[in-house]
Amino acid sequence: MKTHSWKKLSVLAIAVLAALSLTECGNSNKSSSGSSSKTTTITFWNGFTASDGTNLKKIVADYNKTNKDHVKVKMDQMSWDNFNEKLPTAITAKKAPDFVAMNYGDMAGYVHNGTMKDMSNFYNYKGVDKSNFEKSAVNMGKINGKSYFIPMQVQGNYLYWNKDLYKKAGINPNSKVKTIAQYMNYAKRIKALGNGVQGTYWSDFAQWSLVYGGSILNKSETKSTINNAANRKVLNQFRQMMYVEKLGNPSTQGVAVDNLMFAGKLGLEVSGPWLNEGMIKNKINYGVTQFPTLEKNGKKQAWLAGVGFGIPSSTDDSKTKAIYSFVKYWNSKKISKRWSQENKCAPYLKDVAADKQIKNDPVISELAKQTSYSKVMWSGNVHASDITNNVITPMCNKVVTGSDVNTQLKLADKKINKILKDNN
Amino acid sequence: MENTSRWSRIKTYWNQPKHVGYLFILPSLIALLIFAFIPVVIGLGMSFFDVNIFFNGTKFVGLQNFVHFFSDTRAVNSIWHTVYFTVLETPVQILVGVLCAAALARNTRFNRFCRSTFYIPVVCSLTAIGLVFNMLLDPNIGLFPHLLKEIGMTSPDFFGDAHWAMPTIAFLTVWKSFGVTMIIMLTAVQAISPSLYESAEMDGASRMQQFFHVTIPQCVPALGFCVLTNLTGSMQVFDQIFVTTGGGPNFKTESTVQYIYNRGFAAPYELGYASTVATVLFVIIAILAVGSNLYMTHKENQMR
Repeated sequence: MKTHSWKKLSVLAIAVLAALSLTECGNSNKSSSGSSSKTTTITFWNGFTASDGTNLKKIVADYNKTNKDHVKVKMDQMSWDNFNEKLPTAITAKKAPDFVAMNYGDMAGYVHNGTMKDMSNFYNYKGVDKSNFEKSAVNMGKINGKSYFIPMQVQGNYLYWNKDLYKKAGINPNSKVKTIAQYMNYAKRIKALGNGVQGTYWSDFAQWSLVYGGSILNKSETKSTINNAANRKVLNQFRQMMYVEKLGNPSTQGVAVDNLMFAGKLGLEVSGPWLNEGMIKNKINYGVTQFPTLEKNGKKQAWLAGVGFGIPSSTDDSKTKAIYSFVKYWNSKKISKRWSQENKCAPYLKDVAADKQIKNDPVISELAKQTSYSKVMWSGNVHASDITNNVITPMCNKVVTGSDVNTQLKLADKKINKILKDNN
Repeated sequence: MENTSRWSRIKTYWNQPKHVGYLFILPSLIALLIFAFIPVVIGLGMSFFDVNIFFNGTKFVGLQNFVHFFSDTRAVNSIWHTVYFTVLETPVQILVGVLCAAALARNTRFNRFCRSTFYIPVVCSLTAIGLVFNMLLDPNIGLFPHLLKEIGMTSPDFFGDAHWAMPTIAFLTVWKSFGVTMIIMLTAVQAISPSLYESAEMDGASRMQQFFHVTIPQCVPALGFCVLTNLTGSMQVFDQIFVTTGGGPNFKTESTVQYIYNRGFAAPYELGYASTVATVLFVIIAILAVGSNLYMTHKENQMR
């Protein structure tokens, strides 16, 4: 009997081992990137999947065809959510791509965990002119004085409006909103049109806070300062527009707000440059301008965000040159201009910003204005995403559905301090 | 020669009915071991560590994560939301499944058509169904709110209102999944001996009495299976919430699995703490599963 049990166990063990080895065979390390004697293949992950993804694909294809450095870029595009799920596990499993394009807000976490390479020497690479980059764009990728990310795209908060709805509401369709008061006034008039038309929606708290003179963290970013008078005003403004005056439906958020804009059912929206694509595609008669100021002729202020190229620490040093070759190509006037024009993005290279065609494009030239005065928020702060996603957004959601502003600010203050304390 | 005899001895051994059964369950055992048992053990182990997804700066923290869990209102609330969803979804799905199975038990052409129709949502992707419901019920551009407005009614914000969101998700889930319960129960109903119904009829039992005193008692084992699988499935709800509300409004529909996902696979990538929440959920599900199993076994024994 005992022998039988052992036999059964041995068979079971062999079967398990066989299954495991089969699994291993399936996962055998077929290096996603390799180099032949002439061509260096580099793998590239990013989250561009809409029409910007198609444009990016064409640029990569052109690079693969024309580059003289014998480099081939093999690209894998996925949604940003998918990207942020896959990349950490790929890095841990040592299966990361050779380089990535990553959102500014997510960068610090990777750097903090030692998973990204210092790319500071890119600016010394043959043919790269650092002085041609806007300082704010370079600073975006700087963490603790080192450049971990090289700019790929910059973006800010812009105010879009539907010109046809303006006309219906008796507003001059070309009137650019200058102040917050004017913004609210227009939104109310558009909401009054009825028939399911919405006025506007609350947007990026940090941007509003900046304009109102508030802050979220102290200068050394070690303590919360969110519970201040300026932020109270911002939240009261959000509460007033969404809960009291119902200028928009508080439960509609993110892409759903963009969809309303594309359906011609929303008067004004604060959003990034990606909104242009949908507006053009849906033939919306629209305008775009800077985020308004508190007072007429007040100082314009904005936070700069964007996407940057980064190299996971697992990438072999022998590929750095090949990656730099592509990043340099991307940051050439021709390609940067093409990207700006095709995706309606603000340029961050000075020669592109000075280009005649760019200057004459009413949308790009408007977006470009922000790059010069905008600044980077919490550069290199590893808690940025956590604080934004798990404290600030929920706080705003509560306020726009009627919660008390003071209570929510106190709660947010406590939560932020806890995040900062737990992880320091 | 010796090899041949050894091979034939092995063949003889494994050809015996009492041994061959192990070979049949071996593939499932291997799959269970690799995809369930080992991950559960690793997850349990990780719940005692402060570890992020990069496995950087890992340190043993003992029960600290568990202590943190009970002071983490979002985590505790996610458990309540999951229980709320289960309470809404499981009984309704079982009830609808049983009623449909009883009503469609006879093999008429109409009944067969209805069975197939009711089963269609089961084979559809939950993500696709979630997206379709999202569009249909959208307060701004949705068809259903539009129709309600057309007839002069005010439409609730199905996924945006904290009171409506979870019942709407439960409804979507019942609509998608009751076909499975219906088919299982149908098999059980059709296996009931007609003589039992004939005897009941001769005793003057009405259709209702036949349903409660013949159909239901005879289906207890199948019912037990449905309750168990539904219960454990509902406690792991994720896809439909992720697609429709993303846990909102104000985290009011955030399920435990979604919270685990948000903690472990999004910033701050706290894999250790996410494993702790997963362990707590595992214990709750295990208690519910064992409890319901014991209860159904007890009922089954009572019926004999």
